[in-house]
Amino acid sequence: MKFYNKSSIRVKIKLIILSVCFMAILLVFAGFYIYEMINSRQMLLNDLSTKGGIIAKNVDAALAFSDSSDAAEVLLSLETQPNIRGAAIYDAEGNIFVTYRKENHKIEFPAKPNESEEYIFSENVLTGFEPVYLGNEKIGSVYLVLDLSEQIARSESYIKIGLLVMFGTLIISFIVATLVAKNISAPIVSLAGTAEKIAKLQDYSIRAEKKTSDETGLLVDSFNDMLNKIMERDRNIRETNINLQNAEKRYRTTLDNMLEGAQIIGFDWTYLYLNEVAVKQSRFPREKLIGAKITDVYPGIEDTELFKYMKLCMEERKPHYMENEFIYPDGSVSWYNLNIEPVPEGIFILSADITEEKMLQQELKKYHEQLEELVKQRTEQLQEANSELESFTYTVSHDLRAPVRHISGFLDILRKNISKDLDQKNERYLNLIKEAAVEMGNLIDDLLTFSRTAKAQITLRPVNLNYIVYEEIEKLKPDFEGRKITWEISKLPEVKGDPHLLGIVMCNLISNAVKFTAKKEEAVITINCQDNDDKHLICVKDNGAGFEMEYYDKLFGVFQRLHNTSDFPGTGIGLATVKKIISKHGGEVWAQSKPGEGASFFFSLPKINDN
Amino acid sequence: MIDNIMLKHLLSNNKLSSSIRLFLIIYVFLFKFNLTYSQTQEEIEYRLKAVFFFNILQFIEWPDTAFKTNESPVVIVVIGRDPFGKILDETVMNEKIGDHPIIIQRVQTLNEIQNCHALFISTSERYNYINILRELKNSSILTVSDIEGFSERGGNIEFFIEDNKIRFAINIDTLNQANLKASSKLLRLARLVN
Repeated sequence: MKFYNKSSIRVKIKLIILSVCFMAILLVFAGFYIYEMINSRQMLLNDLSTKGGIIAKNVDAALAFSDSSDAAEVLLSLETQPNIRGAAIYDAEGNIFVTYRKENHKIEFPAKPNESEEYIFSENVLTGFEPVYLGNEKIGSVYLVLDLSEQIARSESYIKIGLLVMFGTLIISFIVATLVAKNISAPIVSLAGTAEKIAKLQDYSIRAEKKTSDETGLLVDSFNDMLNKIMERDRNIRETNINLQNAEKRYRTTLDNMLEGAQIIGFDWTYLYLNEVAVKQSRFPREKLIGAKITDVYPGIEDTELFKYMKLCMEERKPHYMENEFIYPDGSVSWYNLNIEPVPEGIFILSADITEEKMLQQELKKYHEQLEELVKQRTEQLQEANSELESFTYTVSHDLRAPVRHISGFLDILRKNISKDLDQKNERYLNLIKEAAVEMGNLIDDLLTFSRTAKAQITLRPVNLNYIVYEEIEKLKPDFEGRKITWEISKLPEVKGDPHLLGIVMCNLISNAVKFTAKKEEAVITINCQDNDDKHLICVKDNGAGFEMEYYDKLFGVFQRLHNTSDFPGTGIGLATVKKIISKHGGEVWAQSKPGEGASFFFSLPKINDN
Repeated sequence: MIDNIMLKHLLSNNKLSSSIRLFLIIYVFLFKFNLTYSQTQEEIEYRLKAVFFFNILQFIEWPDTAFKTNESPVVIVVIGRDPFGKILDETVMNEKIGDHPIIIQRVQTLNEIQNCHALFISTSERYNYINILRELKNSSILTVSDIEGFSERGGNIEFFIEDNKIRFAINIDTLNQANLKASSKLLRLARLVN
């Protein structure tokens, strides 16, 4: 069986054909032979039995009448039978009556006939008993001995022929088998050979040749198909590999060349990869790190918060960003921005050294604190000074007012009293004194107003600016009586503010506009607004004398006058007051002008939403 | 003990060796003079004759008219002094000839015979058997006897002794006349008489 399994297909086919033919022939032959043997035996037996019966029938009288010579003569008729060696007749008692021997064959006749009276095939002979009946009574038996040598010779020649036939058939079937086997196995062998060649050379471009259209041909087609697919897959894999390699190269280059440290730590807490920066950051040589456990390199790291987040990322794959104060084994400290990310191999840590920035930050913080302290101090001082000043101003103004009023009042009385005695020169002198007193009074009033506004707490209320404007214009009417002024006043918004203070603002701005258009024949004063989303923007514009922008810084300062008193009267506090008031409202004041082309004063007020 | 009949058979057997033969001859001699031995020579003879007689009947063919049916009995008649006694009865007991059972009758005169197929004429009828034969001329009755010259005188079958053996003679003509047929096998063994 092993031999069969190990032999090639061709040999197998040959073996199968041969053995099938052989067995077929053998079976057929054996069948015929056995049939022949049985049949011929049966025939011999029948024949012998018949002959025995004939003898018996002929010998019954002789036996009945004990005529042995007659009986012997009957037996002699057997001479015609070449194969019957001998015969004997037994009487009713089983004793031999007569015998016959052909050509003096040495035959031992049995002493008594056997009970069963069977025909027995022995080595060379067939022997048997045939009963002799007279009527219904058995009066003896006939014993015949048949020579089987002819039979045996025949069966021997039969076998010889059979063997010859078998041999011939085997040769023929061997030839046929050889042809058939080759025909069937050739394509398979060819395919097998191709497959082996491909496997050995690893060359997948080789294709098998299709020679037949049967299952083998189908196999060849499928085989070639698979090879095509393998080649394609190979190509794809190669491409992918190249892409992967390129990608890896890119990433490596990136990692190796960037400013931050990059490291990969495996699930077993060993360093799998560090770029140069990371190595530098570690403060250990590269050889000490690669493959070593982080817990061995930095003993005690397990207790740090950093480790906690590393572990979280390792186990629950949670990324984390943190600023970490890293304490080295030698006690030195560095600060890093760390990005801990999960990666297939473990965790990836991006570390940016922020030690310097941190140091600077801390220093900055220190200075900032110091500055804050300083500012606080200064502010306190200033506030103290300011409030002192304000009190002073208020006190002085307030205390100065009374005497000034006295001067002005008594001057009026005096003028009334001595009006008859006044000559032109003296009247002029009195007027000058009155003017001076009035001016002083105005200044003091303004100062008082200024200091009051400085002190005052504003209360925010809805204020109708148009109303305030008209009010102030009415108040100022006597000042521009007889003059031609064109008022261009647009719809002003309702603002949130202190109505009194805002009144002062409008009063100052409008009176300035009136004042500085005094020299113009036709004054045009425009009041409008340009609101935006979070501020009210009010503008008071005149076409008066204007001013040089060069002196803008002084515009809103206290006691700053850009014009002579003779050209334009005024104390110079007005704008400062306006600025103070608007600042208190949280707004801003500014102005624009060109000498001779008028001035525009703007102020903004924040839109307060009390929803 | 070996029967005398068998002894005779044995003695006639060519195959027996001479020594045994001698022994048997002595044996026979001894027993022949033993008067206490029951069987006489005559008995032996008629035992054999009975057997022969019965056997012969097996080889005789009667005409169809002789039997009513297949099962009709063969009637054997012994006329005259019965030499067989019960021997004949013993011989034919439970035997058949073909399908025919056998009946034995003993008569003294022909008139007693109603139906008969085989007639054994005893030696007692030595002097008037011719008459009997004449009477039976047109019948199909087989006539058997051991009277000397029986067969030459018209009888069918005659028993005689030759060389110490019982033999028989057959008259074919009378057989034909009686419309009886005898098997060639029987004829072969007989001395033919015409």
